[in-house]
Amino acid sequence: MQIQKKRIKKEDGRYLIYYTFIDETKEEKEGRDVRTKMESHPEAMDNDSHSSTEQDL
Amino acid sequence: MIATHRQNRTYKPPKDYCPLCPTKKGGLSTEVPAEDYDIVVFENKFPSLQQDSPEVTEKDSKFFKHGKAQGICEVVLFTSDHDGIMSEKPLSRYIKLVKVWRDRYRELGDKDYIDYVFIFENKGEEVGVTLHHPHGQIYAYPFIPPVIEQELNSSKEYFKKEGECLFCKTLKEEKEDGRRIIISNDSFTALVPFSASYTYEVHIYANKHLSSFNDFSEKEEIDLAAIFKTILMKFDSLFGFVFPYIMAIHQQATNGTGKEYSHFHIEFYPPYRTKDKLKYLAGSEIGAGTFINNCLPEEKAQELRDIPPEGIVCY
Repeated sequence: MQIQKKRIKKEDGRYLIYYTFIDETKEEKEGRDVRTKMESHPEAMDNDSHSSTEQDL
Repeated sequence: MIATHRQNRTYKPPKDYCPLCPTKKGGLSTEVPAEDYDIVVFENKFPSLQQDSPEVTEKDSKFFKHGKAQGICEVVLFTSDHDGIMSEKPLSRYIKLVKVWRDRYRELGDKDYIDYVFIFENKGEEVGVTLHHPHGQIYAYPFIPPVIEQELNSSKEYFKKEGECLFCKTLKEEKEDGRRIIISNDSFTALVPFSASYTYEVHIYANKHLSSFNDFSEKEEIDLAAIFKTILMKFDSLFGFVFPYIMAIHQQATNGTGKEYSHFHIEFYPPYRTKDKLKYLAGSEIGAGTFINNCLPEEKAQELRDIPPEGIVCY
Protein backbone atom coordinates (compact mmCIF):
# COMPACT_ATOMS: atom_id res chain seq x y z
CA MET A 1 0.00 0.00 0.00
CA GLN A 2 1.49 3.31 -1.08
CA ILE A 3 0.88 6.53 0.79
CA GLN A 4 0.29 9.89 -0.89
CA LYS A 5 -0.30 13.25 0.71
CA LYS A 6 -1.63 16.56 -0.43
CA ARG A 7 -1.10 19.61 1.75
CA ILE A 8 -3.29 22.70 1.70
CA LYS A 9 -3.25 25.92 3.64
CA LYS A 10 -6.48 26.78 5.41
CA GLU A 11 -7.90 30.31 5.43
CA ASP A 12 -6.55 30.95 8.89
CA GLY A 13 -3.06 29.82 7.89
CA ARG A 14 -3.11 26.36 9.43
CA TYR A 15 -2.07 23.42 7.27
CA LEU A 16 -4.20 20.38 6.47
CA ILE A 17 -2.92 17.20 4.84
CA TYR A 18 -5.08 14.76 2.88
CA TYR A 19 -3.62 11.26 2.98
CA THR A 20 -4.64 8.83 0.27
CA PHE A 21 -3.47 5.29 -0.37
CA ILE A 22 -2.98 3.12 -3.38
CA ASP A 23 -3.85 -0.38 -2.35
CA GLU A 24 -2.89 -2.96 -4.93
CA THR A 25 -4.64 -5.70 -2.98
CA LYS A 26 -8.00 -3.84 -2.82
CA GLU A 27 -8.31 -5.25 0.67
CA GLU A 28 -10.52 -2.57 2.16
CA LYS A 29 -14.21 -3.13 1.68
CA GLU A 30 -15.27 0.41 2.56
CA GLY A 31 -15.20 0.78 -1.14
CA ARG A 32 -14.84 4.42 -2.09
CA ASP A 33 -11.94 6.24 -3.59
CA VAL A 34 -12.09 9.62 -1.90
CA ARG A 35 -9.46 11.20 -4.14
CA THR A 36 -12.03 12.05 -6.78
CA LYS A 37 -14.30 13.74 -4.25
CA MET A 38 -11.44 15.75 -2.78
CA GLU A 39 -10.63 17.14 -6.22
CA SER A 40 -14.25 18.27 -6.53
CA HIS A 41 -13.41 21.07 -4.11
CA PRO A 42 -10.55 22.65 -6.08
CA GLU A 43 -11.37 26.11 -4.76
CA ALA A 44 -10.33 24.92 -1.33
CA MET A 45 -6.94 23.74 -2.49
CA ASP A 46 -3.84 25.83 -2.24
CA ASN A 47 -2.23 26.19 -5.66
CA ASP A 48 1.05 25.22 -4.09
CA SER A 49 -0.33 21.90 -2.91
CA HIS A 50 1.58 18.85 -3.95
CA SER A 51 1.47 15.18 -3.24
CA SER A 52 4.72 13.55 -2.38
CA THR A 53 7.28 16.34 -2.04
CA GLU A 54 6.46 18.30 1.08
CA GLN A 55 7.25 21.84 2.14
CA ASP A 56 6.60 23.52 5.44
CA LEU A 57 3.84 26.07 5.36
CA MET B 1 1.86 24.32 29.84
CA ILE B 2 -0.70 27.06 30.20
CA ALA B 3 -3.01 27.57 27.18
CA THR B 4 -5.87 29.82 28.25
CA HIS B 5 -7.42 30.00 24.74
CA ARG B 6 -8.29 26.29 25.02
CA GLN B 7 -10.92 27.12 27.63
CA ASN B 8 -13.21 28.16 24.76
CA ARG B 9 -12.60 25.20 22.45
CA THR B 10 -15.48 23.36 20.75
CA TYR B 11 -17.32 21.32 23.34
CA LYS B 12 -19.50 18.33 22.42
CA PRO B 13 -21.17 19.82 19.34
CA PRO B 14 -24.30 18.12 17.94
CA LYS B 15 -23.60 15.51 15.28
CA ASP B 16 -24.85 17.81 12.50
CA TYR B 17 -22.20 20.38 13.42
CA CYS B 18 -19.22 18.08 13.86
CA PRO B 19 -16.14 20.09 12.82
CA LEU B 20 -14.26 16.88 11.96
CA CYS B 21 -16.75 15.63 9.35
CA PRO B 22 -16.26 16.43 5.66
CA THR B 23 -17.84 19.68 4.43
CA LYS B 24 -21.06 18.73 2.67
CA LYS B 25 -22.18 20.68 -0.39
CA GLY B 26 -24.41 23.51 0.80
CA GLY B 27 -23.61 22.63 4.42
CA LEU B 28 -21.64 24.39 7.07
CA SER B 29 -17.88 24.58 6.66
CA THR B 30 -15.97 22.15 8.79
CA GLU B 31 -12.26 21.71 9.39
CA VAL B 32 -12.05 19.61 6.21
CA PRO B 33 -13.02 21.43 2.98
CA ALA B 34 -13.77 18.28 1.01
CA GLU B 35 -16.83 16.12 0.46
CA ASP B 36 -15.02 13.06 1.72
CA TYR B 37 -11.59 11.97 2.86
CA ASP B 38 -9.60 8.92 3.81
CA ILE B 39 -7.26 10.07 6.60
CA VAL B 40 -6.64 13.75 7.32
CA VAL B 41 -4.14 15.54 9.54
CA PHE B 42 -4.42 19.22 10.40
CA GLU B 43 -3.09 21.73 12.89
CA ASN B 44 -5.22 21.93 15.99
CA LYS B 45 -7.39 25.06 16.07
CA PHE B 46 -6.81 25.35 19.80
CA PRO B 47 -3.16 24.31 20.12
CA SER B 48 -1.25 24.04 23.37
CA LEU B 49 1.94 24.52 21.34
CA GLN B 50 2.42 26.59 18.18
CA GLN B 51 5.12 26.81 15.52
CA ASP B 52 5.03 30.59 15.71
CA SER B 53 4.31 30.81 19.37
CA PRO B 54 3.65 34.24 20.84
CA GLU B 55 6.47 35.96 22.65
CA VAL B 56 6.30 35.80 26.40
CA THR B 57 5.09 39.15 27.70
CA GLU B 58 5.23 38.33 31.39
CA LYS B 59 8.54 39.19 33.01
CA ASP B 60 10.50 36.54 34.86
CA SER B 61 11.06 37.07 38.54
CA LYS B 62 14.23 35.88 40.20
CA PHE B 63 12.33 32.72 41.09
CA PHE B 64 9.56 32.18 38.49
CA LYS B 65 10.58 31.72 34.87
CA HIS B 66 8.56 31.64 31.63
CA GLY B 67 9.21 29.96 28.32
CA LYS B 68 7.71 30.05 24.82
CA ALA B 69 5.22 27.30 23.98
CA GLN B 70 6.84 26.46 20.67
CA GLY B 71 5.83 23.17 19.10
CA ILE B 72 3.06 21.68 16.97
CA CYS B 73 -0.33 20.19 17.83
CA GLU B 74 -2.03 18.12 15.17
CA VAL B 75 -5.36 16.33 14.91
CA VAL B 76 -5.49 13.01 13.04
CA LEU B 77 -8.89 12.05 11.60
CA PHE B 78 -9.03 8.26 11.41
CA THR B 79 -12.03 8.14 9.06
CA SER B 80 -14.66 10.43 7.55
CA ASP B 81 -17.33 8.20 9.12
CA HIS B 82 -18.59 10.16 12.12
CA ASP B 83 -20.26 7.19 13.77
CA GLY B 84 -17.59 4.73 12.72
CA ILE B 85 -16.49 2.23 15.34
CA MET B 86 -12.81 1.60 14.88
CA SER B 87 -12.92 -2.02 16.03
CA GLU B 88 -15.34 -2.69 13.16
CA LYS B 89 -13.12 -1.09 10.53
CA PRO B 90 -11.09 -3.36 8.25
CA LEU B 91 -7.44 -4.07 8.90
CA SER B 92 -6.47 -1.87 5.96
CA ARG B 93 -7.70 1.21 7.83
CA TYR B 94 -5.30 0.44 10.65
CA ILE B 95 -2.44 -0.11 8.20
CA LYS B 96 -3.18 3.31 6.71
CA LEU B 97 -3.21 4.85 10.15
CA VAL B 98 0.14 3.30 11.06
CA LYS B 99 1.58 4.68 7.82
CA VAL B 100 0.27 8.16 8.65
CA TRP B 101 1.65 7.98 12.19
CA ARG B 102 5.05 6.98 10.77
CA ASP B 103 4.95 9.89 8.34
CA ARG B 104 4.04 12.40 11.05
CA TYR B 105 6.73 11.07 13.39
CA ARG B 106 9.34 11.52 10.67
CA GLU B 107 8.18 14.92 9.41
CA LEU B 108 7.60 16.55 12.79
CA GLY B 109 10.68 14.94 14.31
CA ASP B 110 12.87 16.38 11.55
CA LYS B 111 12.22 19.91 12.82
CA ASP B 112 15.16 21.16 14.84
CA TYR B 113 13.02 22.65 17.62
CA ILE B 114 11.11 19.40 18.24
CA ASP B 115 12.55 16.94 20.75
CA TYR B 116 9.63 14.55 21.09
CA VAL B 117 6.70 13.53 18.87
CA PHE B 118 3.94 12.19 21.06
CA ILE B 119 1.13 10.33 19.28
CA PHE B 120 -1.96 9.63 21.37
CA GLU B 121 -5.70 9.09 21.40
CA ASN B 122 -8.29 10.07 23.97
CA LYS B 123 -11.37 7.94 23.36
CA GLY B 124 -14.72 8.38 25.09
CA GLU B 125 -16.36 11.03 27.22
CA GLU B 126 -15.08 9.18 30.29
CA VAL B 127 -11.58 10.43 29.51
CA GLY B 128 -12.72 13.94 28.61
CA VAL B 129 -13.31 13.69 24.87
CA THR B 130 -15.29 16.68 23.54
CA LEU B 131 -15.54 15.61 19.86
CA HIS B 132 -16.94 12.16 19.17
CA HIS B 133 -15.69 11.80 15.60
CA PRO B 134 -12.95 9.10 15.55
CA HIS B 135 -9.66 10.95 15.87
CA GLY B 136 -6.35 11.08 17.64
CA GLN B 137 -3.79 13.76 18.31
CA ILE B 138 -0.09 14.46 18.01
CA TYR B 139 1.86 16.84 20.22
CA ALA B 140 5.33 17.71 18.98
CA TYR B 141 7.09 19.04 22.08
CA PRO B 142 10.24 21.15 22.29
CA PHE B 143 11.29 18.93 25.20
CA ILE B 144 10.91 15.30 26.28
CA PRO B 145 7.70 15.17 28.38
CA PRO B 146 8.29 14.17 32.02
CA VAL B 147 6.59 10.74 32.11
CA ILE B 148 8.48 9.67 29.02
CA GLU B 149 11.71 11.24 30.24
CA GLN B 150 11.49 9.27 33.47
CA GLU B 151 10.81 6.09 31.52
CA LEU B 152 13.75 6.74 29.19
CA ASN B 153 16.04 7.62 32.09
CA SER B 154 15.18 4.32 33.79
CA SER B 155 15.91 2.44 30.59
CA LYS B 156 19.15 4.37 30.10
CA GLU B 157 20.28 3.57 33.63
CA TYR B 158 19.44 -0.11 33.14
CA PHE B 159 21.27 -0.16 29.83
CA LYS B 160 24.38 1.34 31.43
CA LYS B 161 24.32 -1.24 34.21
CA GLU B 162 23.23 -4.36 32.30
CA GLY B 163 24.05 -3.58 28.68
CA GLU B 164 20.50 -4.39 27.63
CA CYS B 165 17.35 -2.43 26.80
CA LEU B 166 14.99 -2.44 29.79
CA PHE B 167 11.99 -3.10 27.54
CA CYS B 168 13.66 -6.00 25.73
CA LYS B 169 14.42 -7.48 29.14
CA THR B 170 10.89 -6.84 30.43
CA LEU B 171 9.37 -8.54 27.41
CA LYS B 172 11.71 -11.50 27.81
CA GLU B 173 10.64 -11.87 31.45
CA GLU B 174 6.96 -11.46 30.59
CA LYS B 175 7.22 -14.16 27.92
CA GLU B 176 8.97 -16.51 30.32
CA ASP B 177 6.25 -15.98 32.91
CA GLY B 178 3.47 -15.98 30.31
CA ARG B 179 0.54 -15.26 32.62
CA ARG B 180 0.11 -11.63 31.59
CA ILE B 181 0.53 -12.13 27.85
CA ILE B 182 -2.70 -11.58 25.91
CA ILE B 183 -1.68 -12.21 22.36
CA SER B 184 1.29 -11.90 20.01
CA ASN B 185 2.34 -12.09 16.39
CA ASP B 186 5.73 -12.12 14.65
CA SER B 187 6.51 -8.52 15.50
CA PHE B 188 4.50 -7.46 18.57
CA THR B 189 3.21 -8.74 21.90
CA ALA B 190 0.21 -7.41 23.83
CA LEU B 191 0.18 -7.87 27.60
CA VAL B 192 -1.16 -6.56 30.87
CA PRO B 193 2.00 -5.23 32.53
CA PHE B 194 3.31 -6.68 35.80
CA SER B 195 2.74 -3.35 37.54
CA ALA B 196 -0.50 -2.35 35.78
CA SER B 197 -2.03 0.84 37.17
CA TYR B 198 -5.42 0.31 35.56
CA THR B 199 -7.58 -2.82 35.58
CA TYR B 200 -7.54 -3.28 31.81
CA GLU B 201 -4.22 -1.58 31.10
CA VAL B 202 -2.62 -3.13 28.03
CA HIS B 203 0.80 -2.53 26.52
CA ILE B 204 1.90 -3.57 23.05
CA TYR B 205 5.66 -4.11 22.82
CA ALA B 206 7.75 -4.55 19.70
CA ASN B 207 9.24 -8.05 19.89
CA LYS B 208 12.62 -6.88 18.67
CA HIS B 209 14.40 -3.69 19.53
CA LEU B 210 12.61 -1.16 17.32
CA SER B 211 13.37 2.21 18.84
CA SER B 212 10.80 4.14 16.80
CA PHE B 213 8.56 4.15 13.74
CA ASN B 214 11.70 4.93 11.73
CA ASP B 215 12.88 1.35 12.27
CA PHE B 216 9.68 -0.28 10.98
CA SER B 217 9.52 -2.60 7.97
CA GLU B 218 6.33 -2.95 5.94
CA LYS B 219 5.61 -6.26 7.67
CA GLU B 220 5.94 -4.58 11.06
CA GLU B 221 3.43 -1.93 9.97
CA ILE B 222 0.94 -4.66 9.12
CA ASP B 223 1.66 -6.64 12.29
CA LEU B 224 1.17 -3.55 14.45
CA ALA B 225 -2.10 -2.76 12.68
CA ALA B 226 -3.31 -6.34 13.24
CA ILE B 227 -2.52 -6.51 16.96
CA PHE B 228 -3.88 -2.98 17.51
CA LYS B 229 -7.18 -3.90 15.88
CA THR B 230 -7.34 -7.19 17.80
CA ILE B 231 -6.94 -5.39 21.14
CA LEU B 232 -9.66 -2.88 20.22
CA MET B 233 -12.00 -5.74 19.27
CA LYS B 234 -11.31 -7.45 22.57
CA PHE B 235 -11.90 -4.20 24.48
CA ASP B 236 -15.23 -3.64 22.71
CA SER B 237 -16.26 -7.27 23.38
CA LEU B 238 -15.76 -6.93 27.13
CA PHE B 239 -18.92 -5.12 28.19
CA GLY B 240 -20.95 -4.60 25.03
CA PHE B 241 -20.03 -0.97 24.47
CA VAL B 242 -17.20 0.88 22.77
CA PHE B 243 -14.48 0.79 25.38
CA PRO B 244 -12.96 4.19 26.19
CA TYR B 245 -9.24 4.57 26.77
CA ILE B 246 -6.23 6.82 26.64
CA MET B 247 -3.69 5.46 24.17
CA ALA B 248 -0.07 6.63 24.18
CA ILE B 249 2.73 5.71 21.78
CA HIS B 250 6.18 5.77 23.39
CA GLN B 251 9.30 5.66 21.25
CA GLN B 252 12.65 7.33 20.73
CA ALA B 253 13.01 11.07 21.22
CA THR B 254 13.50 12.87 17.92
CA ASN B 255 16.46 14.82 19.26
CA GLY B 256 18.55 11.80 18.30
CA THR B 257 19.28 10.49 21.79
CA GLY B 258 18.72 7.05 23.24
CA LYS B 259 18.31 4.74 20.28
CA GLU B 260 19.82 1.81 22.19
CA TYR B 261 17.46 2.13 25.17
CA SER B 262 14.26 3.50 23.57
CA HIS B 263 11.83 0.73 22.67
CA PHE B 264 8.69 1.27 20.62
CA HIS B 265 5.56 0.42 22.55
CA ILE B 266 1.92 1.43 22.91
CA GLU B 267 0.13 1.89 26.22
CA PHE B 268 -3.65 1.72 26.66
CA TYR B 269 -5.25 3.12 29.81
CA PRO B 270 -8.99 2.27 29.89
CA PRO B 271 -10.85 4.02 32.73
CA TYR B 272 -13.40 1.25 33.38
CA ARG B 273 -12.60 -1.26 36.12
CA THR B 274 -15.94 -3.08 35.77
CA LYS B 275 -18.85 -2.75 33.35
CA ASP B 276 -20.31 0.13 35.35
CA LYS B 277 -17.49 1.42 37.53
CA LEU B 278 -14.76 3.84 36.63
CA LYS B 279 -11.28 4.10 38.08
CA TYR B 280 -10.81 7.57 39.54
CA LEU B 281 -7.47 9.12 40.30
CA ALA B 282 -7.66 10.18 43.94
CA GLY B 283 -5.43 10.82 46.94
CA SER B 284 -2.84 8.11 46.50
CA GLU B 285 -2.66 8.48 42.71
CA ILE B 286 -2.69 12.27 42.39
CA GLY B 287 -1.26 13.23 45.75
CA ALA B 288 1.41 10.56 46.06
CA GLY B 289 1.87 9.15 42.55
CA THR B 290 1.00 5.66 43.73
CA PHE B 291 -1.67 3.80 41.78
CA ILE B 292 -3.91 1.29 43.50
CA ASN B 293 -5.14 -1.44 41.16
CA ASN B 294 -8.09 -3.45 42.52
CA CYS B 295 -7.49 -6.42 40.23
CA LEU B 296 -4.74 -8.91 39.50
CA PRO B 297 -3.06 -8.26 36.14
CA GLU B 298 -2.81 -12.05 35.62
CA GLU B 299 -6.60 -12.45 35.91
CA LYS B 300 -7.32 -9.53 33.60
CA ALA B 301 -4.87 -10.87 31.02
CA GLN B 302 -6.70 -14.21 31.17
CA GLU B 303 -10.03 -12.41 30.70
CA LEU B 304 -8.67 -10.55 27.68
CA ARG B 305 -7.17 -13.74 26.25
CA ASP B 306 -10.54 -15.49 26.55
CA ILE B 307 -12.67 -12.70 25.10
CA PRO B 308 -13.18 -12.82 21.29
CA PRO B 309 -11.56 -12.63 18.88
CA GLU B 310 -9.40 -15.68 19.36
CA GLY B 311 -6.04 -15.10 17.74
CA ILE B 312 -4.86 -12.09 15.77
CA VAL B 313 -7.34 -10.76 13.23
CA CYS B 314 -6.17 -10.48 9.63
CA TYR B 315 -9.20 -8.93 7.94
